[in-house]
Amino acid sequence: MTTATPNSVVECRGVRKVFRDFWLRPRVVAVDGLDLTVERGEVFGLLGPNGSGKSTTIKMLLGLLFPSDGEISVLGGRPGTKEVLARVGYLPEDSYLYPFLDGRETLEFFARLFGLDAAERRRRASELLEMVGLPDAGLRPVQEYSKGMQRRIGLAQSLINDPELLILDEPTNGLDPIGTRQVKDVIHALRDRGKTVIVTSHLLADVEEVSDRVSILYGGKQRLLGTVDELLADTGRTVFETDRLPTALIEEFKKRLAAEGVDVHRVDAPRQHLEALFLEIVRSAQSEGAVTSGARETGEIPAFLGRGPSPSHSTAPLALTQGSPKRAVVTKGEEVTEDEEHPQA
Amino acid sequence: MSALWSGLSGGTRFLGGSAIVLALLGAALAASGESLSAHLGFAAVVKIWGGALLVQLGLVGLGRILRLGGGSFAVARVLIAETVRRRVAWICATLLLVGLAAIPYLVRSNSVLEYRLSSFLGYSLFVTFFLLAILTVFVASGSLCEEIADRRIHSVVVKPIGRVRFLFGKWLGLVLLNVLLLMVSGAVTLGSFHWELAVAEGDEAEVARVDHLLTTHHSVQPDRPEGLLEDVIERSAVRRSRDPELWQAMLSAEGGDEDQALIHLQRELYIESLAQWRNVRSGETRTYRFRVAGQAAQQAGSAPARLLLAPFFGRVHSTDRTRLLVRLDGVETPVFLGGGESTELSVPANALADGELVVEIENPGGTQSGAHSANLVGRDRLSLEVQRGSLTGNLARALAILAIQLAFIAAVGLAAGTFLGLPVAVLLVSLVLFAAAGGGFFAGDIAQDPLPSHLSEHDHSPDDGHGHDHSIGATSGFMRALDGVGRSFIQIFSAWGRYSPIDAVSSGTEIPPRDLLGCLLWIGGAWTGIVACVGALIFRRREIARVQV
Ligand SMILES: Nc1ncnc2c1ncn2[C@@H]1O[C@H](COP(=O)(O)OP(=O)(O)OP(=O)(O)O)[C@@H](O)[C@H]1O
Ligand SMILES: [Mg+2]
Repeated sequence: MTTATPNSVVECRGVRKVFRDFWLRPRVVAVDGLDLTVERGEVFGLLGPNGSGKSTTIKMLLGLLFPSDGEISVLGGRPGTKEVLARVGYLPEDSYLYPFLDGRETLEFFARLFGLDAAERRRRASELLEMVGLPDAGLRPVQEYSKGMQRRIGLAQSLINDPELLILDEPTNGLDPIGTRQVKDVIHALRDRGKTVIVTSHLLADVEEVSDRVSILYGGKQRLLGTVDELLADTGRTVFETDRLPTALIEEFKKRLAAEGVDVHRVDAPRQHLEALFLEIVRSAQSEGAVTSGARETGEIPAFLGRGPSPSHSTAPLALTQGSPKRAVVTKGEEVTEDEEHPQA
Repeated sequence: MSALWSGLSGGTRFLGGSAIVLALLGAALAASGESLSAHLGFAAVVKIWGGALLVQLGLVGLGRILRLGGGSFAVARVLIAETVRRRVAWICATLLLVGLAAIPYLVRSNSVLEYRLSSFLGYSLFVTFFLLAILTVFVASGSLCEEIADRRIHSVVVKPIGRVRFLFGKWLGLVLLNVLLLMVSGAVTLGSFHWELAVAEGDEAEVARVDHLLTTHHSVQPDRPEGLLEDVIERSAVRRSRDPELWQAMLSAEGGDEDQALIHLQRELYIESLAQWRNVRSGETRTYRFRVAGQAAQQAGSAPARLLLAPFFGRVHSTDRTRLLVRLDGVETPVFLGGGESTELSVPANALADGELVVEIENPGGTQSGAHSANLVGRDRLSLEVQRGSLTGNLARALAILAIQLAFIAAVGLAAGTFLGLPVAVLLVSLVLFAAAGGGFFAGDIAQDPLPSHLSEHDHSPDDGHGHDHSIGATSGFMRALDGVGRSFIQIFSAWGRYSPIDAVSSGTEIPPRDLLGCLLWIGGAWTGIVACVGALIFRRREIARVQV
């Protein structure tokens, strides 16, 4: 059907989506001539302002919408067929869940739609509830959940089938910094296990952190495509961080640098970031065992994820303990990597 | 995992609470020296409590069964969980049980036990069907529309279950819920019936008359006289030559087609002769032969039967009685009947031993106000009622027919929900429900007294050869086609009314298994199948992420 390269997971050729009104008159061109290839094992960031066609594109990949023109192939098949859907995980732009089911039932229900057996369903649901930090809340109806708690269940349900291709539409929407951190950790972990992830978000720093390649849409057209490393140009500047310096010493440095012909653009005495403070407070509350009906400590990423065939990547058990947002501590087998910007760099 | 079905804990609390109320009420009544079983209020509370217990047990059972099996079962289970937890199922069950418990109050004013129980059965089934039809209309269209409108469905149809199986799961859940509530309603109805009967035990004569409510009967019409058709064909030739005016009228009615005009004339004569044969004029005697066919004949040999007689004497006052002499099985019985009165004569079991009964009705004539002819035209003016099965079996078959009809409504609701918004879908389904139920009125007319196939109006297709006046071919062909479409519409809609289980149960008329099968094939198979195919086709092809109408 499509001339897909063997390694591509998603192929879009000249995809166009026109929304029509009741009388079939064209009203909105949501996606306009989009060419897109997502390779196996990469994290692909889909960016663009509101209404630029990101969600529309994603819905076409899932068969929720049909393209008006062009061709789409997902995992080598037609979008929306059972064979393809069985290997895809999807987190919609908003958490659309059955409000009267509890968290555990929700996960088990979705697991059942994938044809998993009862024991497996139960096990995966427990592990995922543990992972998203809702082990107790799992027994309350989803309609009682806060927005972010629903989002966490949404994330959990998108992983229940250990998908080859994970599509996350604004996954961090409504999540607290810990949840956000976890989404990024999950994305990293899955990429590590050979999975492909497509993610949209308006939090560009997050996208930058996780994505291998990004595409920026505007008005349904692709304006830019490339790897993050290529696209983000070197600013040609140097930043160094030290312990607090006395003013006199700073002035001396400035003079020194001026003599060398170097402009000093900015000298700062930075405060602690609110995010760091937030995490500190939350973590101390958690270690005290303070009562909460909301999300608790997020747990480990379940082992069942990525056990499937992933030829080029090891499936060594991968435990992920919580670090600060900028300091994820990744323990892989025996070796321990500490990383500032990019856990897998 | 006991909390899985947690929506039911509300029901358990309710049952626990009401059991205490029940015990207190019973104790209070017993203390005041009143007979517990004869107390209407106490009976009502017991019925509601018992019904709620059955609903509760049934829901738990359904939850357990649906835990097994594939994706459709999972969807069905979620649908039932939805109706339970959003209180829809419980409100409906409560209204149903309260409705059933309230009926004895409504029919209490009727002093004759037989009629009281008969209307009790009728009302019970009516309330049941009415409530469940509303439940089905709203849940069927609402469940799908809502899910599409609030985009919940996005998370579901991207799972590899298949949209058609998803739709089937919803339908299955609703059908199972309906079956459960129908079974509970049947159990409560039957329980109440026997309760009423037990309470009325004092009056022997009344209870004896109720006996045939506990059993069902099969209504047999007298055989038409032999040679009637031949006689009519013979007479039609004579009439044609003797009455040229009538013949001209027939000819112009059939567009100049002589064959058709002749058949038309024969049809008129046939209907006229049938009416005459069923009319016992003053001073005349008529013989009617009843034949009980097949398996029924063997049963009839042992089962008692009754001859139902409700002649129409024209507009006479009921005090002005006419004497008829009825001779059956060698015994002559005089009956005195006024206008609008009916009587039943019991037929000894051995009289029907060979499956045949000959009845002679003599109208000696002469009352104060002159001689009247006894008109017996119509199914319920003269018939032999042969006892067949039991009330329980009949009720079960009636509930099965209602379940099939509700399953059809569920399919219509889901099909409408695949492309319409909630209000429009509900309107459309209600319309279909009313049209189908209303179609039953036509059905009654159509079903009566079929004519011999030779005389039936559809026997001759317009293009079967010679004798047609083709000058008006185009118009008449079109009109005939239109006529055909109209007729098939009525035919299709009348399928619903052909199986009217509510009347059958309340009048004690046996619902033959053939009817149940017919209903299953027509409404459960053909109607539901077509609607389901349309729904599945639309649902498979539509863009789920677009909300319409
Ligand atoms: N069902 C629909 N009917 C009509 N127009 C639609 C429909 N869905 C989306 N659109 C239009 O298509 C365009 C793209 O919408 P889309 O949801 O893809 O944007 P997006 O990039 O995901 O935006 P956001 O960042 O706000 O999520 C918008 O102009 C929107 O109004
Ligand atoms: Mg969007």
